[in-house]
Amino acid sequence: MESAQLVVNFALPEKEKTRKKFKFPVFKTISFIFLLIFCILWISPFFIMFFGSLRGHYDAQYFPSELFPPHSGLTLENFKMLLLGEYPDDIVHNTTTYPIWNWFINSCFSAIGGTLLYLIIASFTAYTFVFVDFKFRKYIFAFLIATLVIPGTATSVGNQSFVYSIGLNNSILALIIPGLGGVYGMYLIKTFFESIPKDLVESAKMDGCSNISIFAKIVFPLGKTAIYVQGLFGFMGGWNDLVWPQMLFGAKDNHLWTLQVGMAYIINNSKTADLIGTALASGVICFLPVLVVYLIAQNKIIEGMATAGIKR
Amino acid sequence: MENENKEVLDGKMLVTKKEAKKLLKEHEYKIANNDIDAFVSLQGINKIYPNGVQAVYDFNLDIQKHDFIVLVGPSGCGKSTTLRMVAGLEDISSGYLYIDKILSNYLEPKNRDISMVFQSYALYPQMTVYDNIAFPLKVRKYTKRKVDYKLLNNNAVIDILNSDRLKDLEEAFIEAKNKEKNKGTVYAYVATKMKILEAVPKFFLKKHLLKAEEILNSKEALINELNESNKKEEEILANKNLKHNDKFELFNEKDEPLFEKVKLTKEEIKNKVFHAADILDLGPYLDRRPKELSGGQMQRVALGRAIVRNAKLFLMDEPLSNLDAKLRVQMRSEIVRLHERIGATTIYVTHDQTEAMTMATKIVVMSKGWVQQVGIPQDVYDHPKNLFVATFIGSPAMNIIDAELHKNVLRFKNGYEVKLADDFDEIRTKFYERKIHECERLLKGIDHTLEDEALPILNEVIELNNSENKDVQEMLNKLTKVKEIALNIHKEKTENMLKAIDQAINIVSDTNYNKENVTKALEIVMKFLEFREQIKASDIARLHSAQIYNKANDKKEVLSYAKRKHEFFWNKMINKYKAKHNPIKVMNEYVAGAEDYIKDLLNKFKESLINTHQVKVGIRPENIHLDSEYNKPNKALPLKVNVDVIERMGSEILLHCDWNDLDLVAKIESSSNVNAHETIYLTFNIERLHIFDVLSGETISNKI
Amino acid sequence: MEKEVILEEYSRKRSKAISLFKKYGIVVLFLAPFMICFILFFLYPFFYGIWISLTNFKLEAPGVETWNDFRWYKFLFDKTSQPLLFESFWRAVGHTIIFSIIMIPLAVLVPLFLAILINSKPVGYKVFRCLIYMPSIIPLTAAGSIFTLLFLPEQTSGLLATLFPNFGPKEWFLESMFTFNIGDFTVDVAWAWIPIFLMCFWGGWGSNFIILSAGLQNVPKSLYEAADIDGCSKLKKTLKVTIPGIKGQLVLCLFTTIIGYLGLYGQNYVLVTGGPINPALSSMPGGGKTSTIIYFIQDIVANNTNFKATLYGLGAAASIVFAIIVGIISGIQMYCTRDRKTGNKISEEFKSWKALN
Repeated sequence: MESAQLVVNFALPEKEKTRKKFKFPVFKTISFIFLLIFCILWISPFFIMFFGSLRGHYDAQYFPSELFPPHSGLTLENFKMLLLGEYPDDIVHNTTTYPIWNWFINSCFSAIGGTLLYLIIASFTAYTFVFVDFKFRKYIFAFLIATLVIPGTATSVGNQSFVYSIGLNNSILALIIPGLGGVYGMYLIKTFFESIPKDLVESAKMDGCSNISIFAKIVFPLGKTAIYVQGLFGFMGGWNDLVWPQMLFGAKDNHLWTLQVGMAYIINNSKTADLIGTALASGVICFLPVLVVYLIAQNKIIEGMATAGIKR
Repeated sequence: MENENKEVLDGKMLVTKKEAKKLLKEHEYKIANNDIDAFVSLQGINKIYPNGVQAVYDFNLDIQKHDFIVLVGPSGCGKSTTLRMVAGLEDISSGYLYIDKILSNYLEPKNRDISMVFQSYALYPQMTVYDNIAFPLKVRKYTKRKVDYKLLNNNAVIDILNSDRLKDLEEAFIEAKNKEKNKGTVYAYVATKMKILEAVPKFFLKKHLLKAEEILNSKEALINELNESNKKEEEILANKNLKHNDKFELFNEKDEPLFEKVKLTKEEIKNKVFHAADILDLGPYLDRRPKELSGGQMQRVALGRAIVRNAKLFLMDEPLSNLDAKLRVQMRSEIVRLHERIGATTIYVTHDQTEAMTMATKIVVMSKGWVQQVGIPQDVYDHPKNLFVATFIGSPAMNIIDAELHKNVLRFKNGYEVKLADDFDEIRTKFYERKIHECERLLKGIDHTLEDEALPILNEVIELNNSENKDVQEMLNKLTKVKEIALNIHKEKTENMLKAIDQAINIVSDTNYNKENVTKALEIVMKFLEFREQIKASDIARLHSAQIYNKANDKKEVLSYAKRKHEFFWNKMINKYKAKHNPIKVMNEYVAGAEDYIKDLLNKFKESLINTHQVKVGIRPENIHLDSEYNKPNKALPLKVNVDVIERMGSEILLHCDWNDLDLVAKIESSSNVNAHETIYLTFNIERLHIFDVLSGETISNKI
Repeated sequence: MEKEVILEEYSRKRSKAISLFKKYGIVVLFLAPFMICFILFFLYPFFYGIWISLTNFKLEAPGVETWNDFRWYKFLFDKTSQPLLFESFWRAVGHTIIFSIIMIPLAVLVPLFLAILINSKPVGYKVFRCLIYMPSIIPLTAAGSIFTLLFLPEQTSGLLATLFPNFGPKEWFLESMFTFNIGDFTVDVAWAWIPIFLMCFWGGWGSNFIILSAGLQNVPKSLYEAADIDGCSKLKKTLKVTIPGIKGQLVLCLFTTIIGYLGLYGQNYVLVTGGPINPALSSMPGGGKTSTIIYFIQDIVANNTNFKATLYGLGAAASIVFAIIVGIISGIQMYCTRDRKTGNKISEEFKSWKALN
């Protein structure tokens, strides 16, 4: 009806706003959906591990496809098998009890002790390369960087013999030895130190500080992040390392094994339905500490990696 | 020959929707509005961010061709935002932007035919200088006339064969082979030297005919061959129903010229880049990468990238702020020289008023999102409109002193008096009358008394409509009464309102009384009467010279940011939504009691009109002289001052003086014999005084 | 009587000596621990390893070596001296290199793709980032246990076997995908590579992802705006602004990925020991269908006491050969991705152009 049309035409005297181009964030939504699906699949192995380790051997054998949750519910029997040596009667197993606690201590020593020692050495070295000017500084550093190309294996064979020859082949000190010569961590810390303004150090020198106090009072507090990040990486690397401890102690008495070596051995011998739970339980045991550290410090870890990539 | 665009559409055409869609797509959504005179026109541009902050208020500017406009102001005043809106990097919240008569609000930056120089130069770090400058040319496709290249090239060769330049050709080949080892550049060299198409030397190179004699020998054979080829080509064209003219540009059967979108050839790109490099003296640096260049060189590469496309509009965003002082002065004159040579319209943004004064043909002074003054540099310098412009332009800054004004006599705190020109009182009166008039107009705009009268009557009409016994006559009476009241409301608001009331009357008196339609019509009238126009923050700011007004606002803004940081996620979302849908209301919350504020202002203006009132007096340091040295008429009585600090600039001396506890800065000649901590006498030219009204911050003058 | 010296000159010399002493004292003090460790635990073993490979070194009785005339190297490079050993070693090398060639492009492109997705900052991208990186911290053994469970055959209740009974071979860790003969050389590709591939994918690409993601965010926004004004489409912007902008990160990722995959060991060991044996080479170190160079070396020096006693020098020799291969490949990669030097071709052309105009 004509009058109905008239009715519509009167617009209110609002301030005319030009319409803003509304671009539907297509890319963002597609990314979100894809990432969601991707991450769900990505995380599923963790769930497999956790639930698998809490599944009894009976379920593992007869109801293998039921994982979340297992058929007869969650049990801790796999952990009991590993840690306490209590095996249910119907399992064919190795009669040795694994000295898991020893392994744990060894891993801790290697990861934490080795990392701490390395941090001290590396931070002092990085400080010297950045803030103290001495002859050949550039050349020495360039040489150190050049050796990054040499892979660890080339030196580990020699290291092994070296350890033998000085008689340390039966002590756990040998675990931390090759890590102390590493250049990569020192390089990371040095790059961070370079972002501290040199004026601070110079004015401290004018005020009369000795190098050690400059390090302790100025450089260390400002470069704490780098040291912290390198500490995290060092811890995770030391904890997860398999090659070197195996090389040292692999074929011998298993009291000296680290957690990783031991678990690798267990997994290799648990490839049956009954024992697969123990394999997964062992995985959980050696993963948990790292996971905890990661969840607590994940921001710093990710930032550290990111900055390391950029500063390159 | 390149970039021949199709005709731009006229925005006033009346077409059906379907045609409109088709036309718009063809012409890339470019519509011209032929009423506009200026080359670039910004009309009522506002920029409101999603969180409610308004960065640019009501920006109006007309830019003529070949102008050099400088937007100048302290940081945070909205000049960069305006520039980015013109460039297309930010959305325009409201208002219209016309570039070369084409409405460009929604065009992409690449379609606006503009070039931009960034503050950080934004050079592509992995490419050489040559590639950086050539990049805009390589990326675009240009519309060119379709040409039959085979015919063109063949005929070029035939021309050369028939000319007597074969000896020159041979020499050119020998020279080229000596200098360049790369085959690619041999025929480029020959082509440039002989000013012929590249295809010609290519042709001879292919046939290995590099000597004049050899060419002459086989001249007949060659010409025959080429003619054959031409014939074949013409056949092919005829089969496709295409024709050509002497330049071998193609037409279709309807005699319309054919266009194609192609990229520029390497030769063309090279010529343009070299041309630009020549202007900017970048020849030796063409191979380098940005990290191997100094600041000034990077600046010039950025300029080169901007000029190589011959765009119509140049935009520069503080390009000189990253350079050291000496280089800055040098580049300033280079940019001006460049502008004269190329003649493109330029919009330049800076915070340095020296740059603005020296480079611009027109200055736009901005502060806190508002335009303070637009004018040519000398004008802005001599006749600043308000306190902000007066203190911003000119270095060292203008001296501002408090004083009392009684008719046309200024009285300073220490008793010193100055008698101003005789007509000053008239100017002053007119100024205050103008201000009062503005305030009253604003208040009238928000006066709701008449609407409040009309509303109850309308409610009665609605009730009658809803009740069982419809007394049509009664309703009509009441509606007529409403109309009477409406007629007295402020003219700007009533036009649509009267239309609505008339429509309602018509519908009610309609013989087929339709309740639904009546209800609808009455609702519309109701909406009009209920609509309340608020005093917007923008009105107050316009009245009150943005800087002074926003002093109170500053604190509030700071607080709200700090608060915002700790706001809950949900609150943030809600506020964002609110701000988006009602940005003006959000601003209003900062101006509590707008009405009272304006009434207060109004009273103060009225007082100032009659009585003695406070003012601020401004005098520039260069207009203060030593009493002993100044002998012009209009000289004021000498001031006795105590010199605190002397700055010897080499070309002049700056005196920082203490005049009875008031600080003054004076600029005097360097040959004067003055020492620190002396007492001397200064004077000034009365005509050079600027008088500012304290309430609004504006200069009391007769210029609007 | 003591020798007399001019006070000023003497003080100059002496203070110079003192300050030098102080400065280098500090340097020595701070640098010494690291340099000692570096030399002792890096340089010395490196050269020691070279020496071991060249002598008749026996682990239990060090110090009683005689020059062995490149015996170990002959085993590695001369087909006739110890054919089985030769074949075992070079098969391992072949496995490593082919696997690396397949993995390395993926290991850079897939994280790049993920980084581009994260870069558009969808809701909760920080959570996604954390989750994507999480598998990279898991120890190999733990990851190995998961993938073992997945890929065990049906009779031992492997997950995949029970959920998708007809998918894939019966014995992931034993069977071969396909075999074919080139001359009298058998190429035998085991199914076991697939779980190894998945394990590398899951646990190895997180760090690349983080580095590339950081690199993407570091490209200055004004470059994108300048490209906008110059008229680039989205694809062109990616090619010309994004990819060159993250070039440093890409090079770093490439570098670490190459070294990482050439040294592939842990995944194989955990998944496969006791697994697919190449029957002909079963008595040799590293004789398996999924052996790699490091696996070969570790077999000699760590896992098998028999080999350790008899073939120790061979392990050293193999590790030296490995170091050389890695060095060559890294060198090639660094050469290819070096910064281009400035030439002067264009400015010459400009001069000739200018002369003509």
